Amino acid sequence: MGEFAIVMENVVKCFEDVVAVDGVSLKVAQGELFGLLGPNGAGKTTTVNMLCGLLKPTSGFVSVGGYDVQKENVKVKGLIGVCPQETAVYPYLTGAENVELFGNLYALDEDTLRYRRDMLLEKLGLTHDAHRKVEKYSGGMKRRLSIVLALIHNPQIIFLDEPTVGMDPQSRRAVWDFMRELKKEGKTIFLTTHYMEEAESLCDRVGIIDHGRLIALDTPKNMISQNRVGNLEEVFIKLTGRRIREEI
Amino acid sequence: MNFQRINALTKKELKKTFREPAILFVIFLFPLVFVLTFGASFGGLGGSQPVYNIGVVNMDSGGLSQAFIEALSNTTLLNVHVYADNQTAQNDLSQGKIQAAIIIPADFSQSLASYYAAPNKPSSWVNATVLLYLDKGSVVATQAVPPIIQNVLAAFLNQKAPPSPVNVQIASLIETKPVSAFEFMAPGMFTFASIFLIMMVAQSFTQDRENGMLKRIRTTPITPAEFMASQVLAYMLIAPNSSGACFRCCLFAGL
Repeated sequence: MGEFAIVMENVVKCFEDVVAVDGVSLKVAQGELFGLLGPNGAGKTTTVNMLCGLLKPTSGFVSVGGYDVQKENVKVKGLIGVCPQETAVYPYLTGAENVELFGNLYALDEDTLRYRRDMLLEKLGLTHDAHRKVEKYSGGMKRRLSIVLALIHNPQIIFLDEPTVGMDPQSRRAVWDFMRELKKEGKTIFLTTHYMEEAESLCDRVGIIDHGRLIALDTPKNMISQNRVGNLEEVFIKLTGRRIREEI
Repeated sequence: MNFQRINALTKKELKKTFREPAILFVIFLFPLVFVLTFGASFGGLGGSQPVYNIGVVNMDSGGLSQAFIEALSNTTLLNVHVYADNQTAQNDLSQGKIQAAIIIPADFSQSLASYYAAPNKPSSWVNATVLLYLDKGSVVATQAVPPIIQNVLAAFLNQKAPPSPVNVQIASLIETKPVSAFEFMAPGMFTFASIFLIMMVAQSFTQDRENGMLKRIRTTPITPAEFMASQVLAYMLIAPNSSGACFRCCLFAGL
């Protein structure tokens, strides 16, 4: 797989006249929990979409798991698990049926699929509601199910795009614990968030992105100490001159 | 092609069809409303019966042939025109002015008289043949007119079942294989199924795109061919059910 799980080199993405991502370069090591921070519209999701092969960069190079995302898209898709920003789950299926569908899309065998389905639903507290239709789920439950779908095939590299948006504090804590557990298992996690607290408590390193540019890249501790402030939120204010907006 | 993936997505699509009330409406209730509305507008449902224009050429000078022509005229289904000769009738038939031409043979009255004299003794009957020319362009006329003539003749003879001294023979070179209800309705059903398929697949795609499912599925190793195959397979199973529902509605409405 190589030394780095994720490599971006001078990546630019333009949508007509808007530059969504402007020359971003970063490397994420294997087993690292990396956080990409930024306000809404900063370019976080565009970056994730390019890393998953959903969007083609206008210029620059992107590799995931040692594979060129553009040229070896199929190999990359087998390695990654993606939890998108939208709560993308089928409302007319039950929780368990959603999980089984995605397990089958990754061509898991029946035993593995059953084992991982039960284990993940248990860990994210959905066992009790597994056989209810998802349309009856609360917003937080749908988001937790969305995480289960991303992880059903035991991926080595996990992209979580604002996974805790709209969750109550208790669910959020549970997801954080789960992410720490995944990290212990040696998974590489690429997390995007606009919750500074989340990044500060979870991430090995964070990158701050604003207007498509990566304006800082370091460990949360270093960032706070170098900028001589109390927390990441203040780092962001110092670097950009404004407060991070939180719009759900 | 991985059949596990195709199978999973096909099942998902079928579950969606039977769990979403809006889709169930489109499959089962919409055909019913469609057929009843369409039937009430254009079909025989509650409307008047069609009338066929037929020409009659009487080669027989006997009184019984005149009575037979009157019997034909008395049916509400036929509008009878009497022609002096076969040629004029044929011309009008080819021009579409009439949908059928009946040639009553010279021995028609004699034949009927022999029948009335000994209804239970076929060996003593004088057999006669009524020739029937049909408009090849009118499917309805070719299907409907011969049985009407047969029925009028049977009633005229007070006869409940064959044999009969008078045969009705179709002289035109057209096949008069009876069209089944299925054959009659199939083209409409297939058109309905195609329109339905396009509508449903488009709706399914748009919905998945809007709620981010399509994007999510694109992050999995499924190929576009597998995805398309699952959609085609699912709707190939759904469409006949919708057509079947429509067909049953047609039968029910008596179209």
